[in-house]
Amino acid sequence: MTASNGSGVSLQGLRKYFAAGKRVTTAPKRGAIDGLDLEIADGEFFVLLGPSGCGKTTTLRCIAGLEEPSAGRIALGGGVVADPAAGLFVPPEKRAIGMVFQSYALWPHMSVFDNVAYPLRHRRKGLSREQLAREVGAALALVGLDGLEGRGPAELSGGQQQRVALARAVVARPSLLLFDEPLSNLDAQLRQRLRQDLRRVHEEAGGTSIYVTHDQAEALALADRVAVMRLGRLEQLGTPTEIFLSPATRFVAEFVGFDNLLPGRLTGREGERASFLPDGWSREVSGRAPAALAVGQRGLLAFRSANLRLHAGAAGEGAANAFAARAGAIAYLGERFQAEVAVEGQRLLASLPLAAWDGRGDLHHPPAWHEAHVTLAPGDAVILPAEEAGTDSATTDTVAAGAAAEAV
Amino acid sequence: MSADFPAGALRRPPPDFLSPRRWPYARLALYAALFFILVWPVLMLVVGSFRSAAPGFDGAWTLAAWSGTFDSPGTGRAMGNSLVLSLVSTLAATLIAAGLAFLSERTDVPLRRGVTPCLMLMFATPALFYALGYAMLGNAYTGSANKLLQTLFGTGAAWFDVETWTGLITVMVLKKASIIYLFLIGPFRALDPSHHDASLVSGVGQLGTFFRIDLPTLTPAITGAVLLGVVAGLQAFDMVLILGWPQDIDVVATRIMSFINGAAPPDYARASVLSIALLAVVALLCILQSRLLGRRSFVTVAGKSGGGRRIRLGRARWPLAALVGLYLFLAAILPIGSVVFSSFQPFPGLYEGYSLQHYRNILALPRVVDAIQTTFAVALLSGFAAMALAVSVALLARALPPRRAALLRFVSLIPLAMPGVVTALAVSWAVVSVPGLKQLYGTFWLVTLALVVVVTPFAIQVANAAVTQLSPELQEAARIAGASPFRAAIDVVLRLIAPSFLAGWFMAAVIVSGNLEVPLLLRAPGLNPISSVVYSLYSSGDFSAASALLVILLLAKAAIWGIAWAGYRAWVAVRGQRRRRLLGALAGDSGVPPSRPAAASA
Amino acid sequence: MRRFFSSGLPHADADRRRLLRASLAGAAGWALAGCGTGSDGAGQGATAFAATLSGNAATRDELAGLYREARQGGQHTAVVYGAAVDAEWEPLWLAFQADFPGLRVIYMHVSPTQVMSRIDAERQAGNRMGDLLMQPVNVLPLIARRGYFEPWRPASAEGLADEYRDEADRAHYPFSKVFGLAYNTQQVEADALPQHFDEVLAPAWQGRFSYIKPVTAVGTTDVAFATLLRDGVVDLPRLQALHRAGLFTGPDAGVTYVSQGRLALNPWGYLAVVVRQRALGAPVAIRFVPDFSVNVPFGFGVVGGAPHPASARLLKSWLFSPRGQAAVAQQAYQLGTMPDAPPPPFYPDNAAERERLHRRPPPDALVADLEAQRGMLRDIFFRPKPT
Repeated sequence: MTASNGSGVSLQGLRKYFAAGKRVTTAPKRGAIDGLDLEIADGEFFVLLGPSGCGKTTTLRCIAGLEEPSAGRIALGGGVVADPAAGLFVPPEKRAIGMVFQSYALWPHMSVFDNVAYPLRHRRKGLSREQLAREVGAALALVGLDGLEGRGPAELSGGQQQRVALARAVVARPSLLLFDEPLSNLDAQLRQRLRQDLRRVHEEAGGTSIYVTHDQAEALALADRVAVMRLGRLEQLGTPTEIFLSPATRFVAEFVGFDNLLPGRLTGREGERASFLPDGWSREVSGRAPAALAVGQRGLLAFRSANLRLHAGAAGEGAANAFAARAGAIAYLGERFQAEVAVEGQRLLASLPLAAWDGRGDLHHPPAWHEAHVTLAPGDAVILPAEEAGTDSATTDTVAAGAAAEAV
Repeated sequence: MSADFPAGALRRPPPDFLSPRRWPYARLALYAALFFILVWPVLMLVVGSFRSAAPGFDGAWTLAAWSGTFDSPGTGRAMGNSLVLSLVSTLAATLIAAGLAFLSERTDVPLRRGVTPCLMLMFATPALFYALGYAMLGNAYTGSANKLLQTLFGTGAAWFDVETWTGLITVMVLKKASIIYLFLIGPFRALDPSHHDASLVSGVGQLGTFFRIDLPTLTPAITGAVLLGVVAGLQAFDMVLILGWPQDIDVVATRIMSFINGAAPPDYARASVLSIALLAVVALLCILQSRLLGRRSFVTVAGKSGGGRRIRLGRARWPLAALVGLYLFLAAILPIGSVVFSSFQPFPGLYEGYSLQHYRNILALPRVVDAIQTTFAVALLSGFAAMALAVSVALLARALPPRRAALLRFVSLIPLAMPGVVTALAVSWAVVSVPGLKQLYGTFWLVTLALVVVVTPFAIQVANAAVTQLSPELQEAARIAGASPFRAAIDVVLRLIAPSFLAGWFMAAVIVSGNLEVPLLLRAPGLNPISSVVYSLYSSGDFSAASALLVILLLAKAAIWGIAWAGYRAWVAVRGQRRRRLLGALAGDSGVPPSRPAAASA
Repeated sequence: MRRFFSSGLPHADADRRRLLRASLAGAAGWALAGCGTGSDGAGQGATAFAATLSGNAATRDELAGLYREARQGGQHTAVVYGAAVDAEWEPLWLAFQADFPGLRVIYMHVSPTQVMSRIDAERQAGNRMGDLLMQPVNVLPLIARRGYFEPWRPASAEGLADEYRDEADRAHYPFSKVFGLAYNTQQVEADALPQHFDEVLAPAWQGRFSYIKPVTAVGTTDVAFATLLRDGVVDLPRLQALHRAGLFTGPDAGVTYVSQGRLALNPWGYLAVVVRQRALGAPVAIRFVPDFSVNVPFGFGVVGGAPHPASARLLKSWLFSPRGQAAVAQQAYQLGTMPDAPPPPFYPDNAAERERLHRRPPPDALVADLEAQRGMLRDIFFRPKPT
């Protein structure tokens, strides 16, 4: 996809260092970007997803012009706006964008009307007062806040403030809308409601939107495409379905909720289907594997606990992906039970539907079953490539923990 | 009955307004101390204005002082002078301070890293030092700056005469800018960068954003700074005393002093009347400020810090840097350099025969050694007492409902409105009106008390800043772990604020050591702090000796600061070692490197 | 933030803390030791210290007796409230302290207008601190008359002229402050100096000289005018012309202005300041032209009910002794009042020259003159300058 028309965004080889001149290493300074290539299509709702410190906000700010990239090229709608090698940098006020900030950034000394009118006054000069009032009114109506023009920001609730920020971002009809974790300061209920409004505004405004978040549920609900970022690099780019159901790396898998990960070896394949032997297991598991993985290569088997079903009794003969298990403590998750199970000598997390448990006896204790087994649908087991040499789990955890610790 | 209570339970009587549980003695004692130190002097000042005799003496009630004070032309002139001096210097100083704060915080001008340290140095320099430095530098007859320029450019007449109105205002502007800058730097730093960014993405450039967004958000801070500047200007004493006397410039503070020290018999009543007038003006200004700002609270929601992007100045970089450098040179380097220089000169106006004779001479005088000891003792004591009081007030204010806490804070700022002269006078009135304390009149303890009052507002600012950083949960955690309230306070609170306490103690001691008005007014035999020795040397014509003594004072302060700094570095190094050892021990146990804990805030 | 309590290994930790606490306590203790009133300089026991005595037998006996009494009575200080800025008197007190080891003079500058209220306040507060008052001749008789002093006449003041003592022996004047015509050596030649009062009114000196403002706390100019008026050298028109021609200064500033080159002359300029500034290299000198010279006696009285009567009397007595009079001249640059007192630097030491200088009226007459002339002086000098 090339972004040569309308309001597509193109990032080529984007790099941003924070420590002056130092190369980004395996433990980069928070927020640095290390070689990002993205093509965002015109009219797309594009989400940058990742943990704190992965560089998604920095990327957004580079697109906005609030940061200058150290290397690479950024083009908005076909026109290059940043190219350090060529000495080119277009300041943010000259880019036709609108942005919604995490803290709303409403100016406290101006009324709601003045806040929303501000971009109009400066991006589209020469409007008459009636025209101005009409545009502001339209923007406020779009976000559902008509009638509140005269108030000051301090008099509004969090949700209302965010809507005003949204109105301000769209009022000048920019072709690119940027969202910097706009909902993270709101409580869960409000978040759900505003999410829908954001998507609706995007549709009605008709431009491209780039949205930054660390919340995978938000990403999946809003996005046309998601880019998962980690340590300044792109981990995986795809539709929400692809990300959720077919993570490409361990990091993405963990991020979207795959809580069972087993290292092992690919032992055979048949098109999409493959068989995988986890380390220390006596039998193979069948799952899905990407084409790039060859037979005999090491890999990682990932599946959700929700998909690993626990049953009482022995496994039936010949059932695919059925393994004997010993059930451990059971926890109540609301829509299902989650059980710790021991399969082939390893601890896994499995599920029990609500109906399977009759409530007799204590929770948090192993059920009094003679035998038990777990089943896993092959389509729910994803086989990932093994990690590159030099990045073992301990380091990953340390760095991630460190990044999380330093996050604001 | 006791069988119903588990061991260790406290018997609590039903909650009752007057029960000791709600009014522990410590709190009462603190309220009493605050009242006596901060409120009682002002009350007694008012009472004193209606008395015909000196504090503590039998006298009659009279309105003579009230009717007479404002009739006298000298008083009217002094008040006019004060207002003019204060307003003009505050205006200029605020412009300079705001410009400096903007340049150092929001732009990438070279030299910006030197601005804050230099201005802190200026703030820590007593006004006396400053005034002396400029007097040595710019006086029309023997000023070293004049001499230098005359030598370089060869004209006969003096270039500057600092002992004029213009000179006085200029020097005041330079010093006041440092106070206002330090006041503004916090709000400038706290400007939410996302507000700035939001304006940029809305289509307004950097400069436009500064004027449309940043500056209006800073309005409360700037008006607060202007108010502070005006109040400080109304209290000007040291500089006027030293630079204003050839032209007989009289301001309210010097006028009050002359009512007491210059009239025969001393006219305490008139001094009190004038003091009250000054306080009334300041109170009016405060009310005006709070009315102007009204209910507009420019509270910004803290968002993610985006790094505070600085404005690139481009071609304007070097001219602006030159301006900044010029200010730093004029305001910090020049006066200090001048004092140091004149301490080596045999006599102002002579440019040969530099030597250390003045240092030798004054250090040989027992009086000077006494002065150093006295200053040290007074500064140590007053600083400690003020900080202890301030910390107690700050901790207490946290536990009070908001309105009472606000009242407490307001009361603690009262001395800020009073020049040192008025404070000394008010404290004298306060002390002699209490039967048991009359004996303190004219002693070391009265001076120390007055200095504590003078420095308390500053101490409270430091203490507030330190205490608000402490979450109440820290104390609560200690209580849950089994510590009594007192123990929790000591183990948790005091240890955590110890650094701020010490820093505040040092700062209060610096302010006290530079104070001239209180010792001049409240004399005690044997109590000759450095400031009054310097002043007496200066007024008997021993300029170079006065300069030498000031240099010694500055070196002493720097030495104490240096020791503290070295101690801090040593402690940080030792702490780092200890932490590494601990981590090593942990790693040795489990074979897994532990994750680094979050960096402690420095 | 800075933390002072370092934390190293446990035992080193504790040691360091102890050391730090000890040094802080030591510093505080040293500081506190040096403050407050009456802190004891040498502070040793009341064993016999060798006092250096001078004068005739009666004087020596008195000095020795008072010294013994002071030491045995634990009176280690003498607190003086004086009408002059402290800086210049230190050498004099040091000379006293050298002669009488173990004693200390604590001097505090209290202006004439303040001194009585100060004593009153101390009495009211029940906390007497002042032992001696050192005040000029224009206020001391008033203070004496109001009963602040205990009458006591030192044996060393035998031979003192009557004009230097109060008739009820309440106060005695051991020295006079000396004022002459100070001039800037770079701007004025010695022979171009005005020799008579009228000469300074000439246009050549217009705006080039200053003198202490009359009818203020410092009475130097007042005493000079009283003397000149009595001798008929000045009258009302001349005083008005003086006001037109010259400038006012504060107490010690006149000589400083001359040293700095701001002004050329300082009639009735303070000798002690001239001596000190000249020693530092300032281009200032002094001449004792009769019309522009005056001596202002400074007297001492022992405050009734003083906390240290013995050491106070000792100091007062010492000032009249030969050693005291010599110290007065050589350390403090004042003129002793005893008949054979040595003169301070630059002061004429032959009798003939001294005779030419105007004689001031005796204290009581002087006080009356000052009172009488006050109104007239106020009328002249407290108005804006006539054009």
